[in-house]
Amino acid sequence: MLHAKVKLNILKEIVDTASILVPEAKFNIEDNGLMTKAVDPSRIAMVSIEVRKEAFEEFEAKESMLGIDLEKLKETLKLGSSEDVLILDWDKDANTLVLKVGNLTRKMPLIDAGGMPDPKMPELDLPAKVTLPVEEIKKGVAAAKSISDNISLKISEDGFDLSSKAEGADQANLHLPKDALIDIEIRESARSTYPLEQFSKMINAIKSPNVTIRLGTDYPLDIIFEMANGMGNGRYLLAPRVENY
Amino acid sequence: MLCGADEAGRGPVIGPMVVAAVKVESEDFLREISVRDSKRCTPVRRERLAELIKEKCAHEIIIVPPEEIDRMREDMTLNELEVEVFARVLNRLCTDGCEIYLDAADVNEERFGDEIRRKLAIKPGKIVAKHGGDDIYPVVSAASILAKVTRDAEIERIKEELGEIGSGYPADPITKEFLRKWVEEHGDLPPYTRRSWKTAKKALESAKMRTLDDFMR
Repeated sequence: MLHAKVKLNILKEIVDTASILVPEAKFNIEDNGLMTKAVDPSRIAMVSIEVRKEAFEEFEAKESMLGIDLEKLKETLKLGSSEDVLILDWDKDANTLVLKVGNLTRKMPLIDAGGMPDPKMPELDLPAKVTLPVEEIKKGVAAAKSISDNISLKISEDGFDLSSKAEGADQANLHLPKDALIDIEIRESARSTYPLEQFSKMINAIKSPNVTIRLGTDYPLDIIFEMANGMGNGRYLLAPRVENY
Repeated sequence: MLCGADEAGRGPVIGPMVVAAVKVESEDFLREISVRDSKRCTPVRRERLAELIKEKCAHEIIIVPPEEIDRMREDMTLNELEVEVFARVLNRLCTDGCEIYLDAADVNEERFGDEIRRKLAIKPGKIVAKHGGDDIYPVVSAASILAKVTRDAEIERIKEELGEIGSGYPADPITKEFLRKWVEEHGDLPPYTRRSWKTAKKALESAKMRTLDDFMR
């Protein structure tokens, strides 16, 4: 069962974080919160979300699985404003999610969660890590956009670099020296290239002011960030594009 | 003299582009062997027609291999490339006063004719460029047959070497799948591929992209 009250902006943050990769997601509900994991259809990107019950105004739940059409939920959230408090009830018999915003009631049929995959996270041994403001990364993404479909990330003793290169001579490089970073840990320096479109979507979906990026060489990227004002956390994984294969 | 020119294999991502030109004093012979029906006839008959045309008519055929297409595409549009090759073949075959008939490759027929005129070393009597010119003028049909038969033979050779490549057109799913698989197995595009084509670039790019499954242990 599930009965919850939650601020619209918190629910929106959860939905937006997942919906950049998948149109629907399976939410695992437990008595202390909810979590979801999903892989995008091309299997290059993954999202993992955990939100503790403290992020909710009220949260009463027993273990259950909800298959939610994220696009539909997104549309429903447009009907209220960010400070509104939503009431969520799961009607198990009708397999329906009932949302109330003010005087509006929206019933939403759920997707059969039993048929939805439970993706496994690859275990990644990544030798370099930086923590920095999301805004800094956004600058690097904006600079790369007009140049290439890919973006390269590098963590070394010099700091953190975001760069992109076109076939011709066009290049952009955002260099953040160590003192511009909140934290840096290096076992060995690392460099990988990622598809810019997906990377940019991920960075733009993050609401938390800071992110931690774990990096390897020609390895998936691990982006870790807080959600729901620190009462949850999110992770994105993104597979690399490699030059030699 | 009447001169006709046409191309085959403008769009495909695999194989050469062929431009052919035919020169005759009169179109009587071409009408006699009914070249205009060539689009509706069997490949065997088309080959027979090509032999007859080569035997009886002055002609020139230029095969532009994929590497050359790629080189030209670095600083030319596909239309400019075609104008260039049409002019090349006509310069080899035509003399001053020749009436030139073309199957227009550009959406704008007149522009196509004008641009070719500018690149000609000879002074033509007139230039007529029409869409579907190969259906209107026997001398263009004849050029079209030579171009098509030549390209088909090239494609047959390529198929013998590479296996099933589909039609070679970018929209053909068999062609796309062939490119993707080849890149996956060999780490590069197959020979005879036009690397400057978007489909080729995409095939190369997608092989460089890993999935998360590649990192599952």
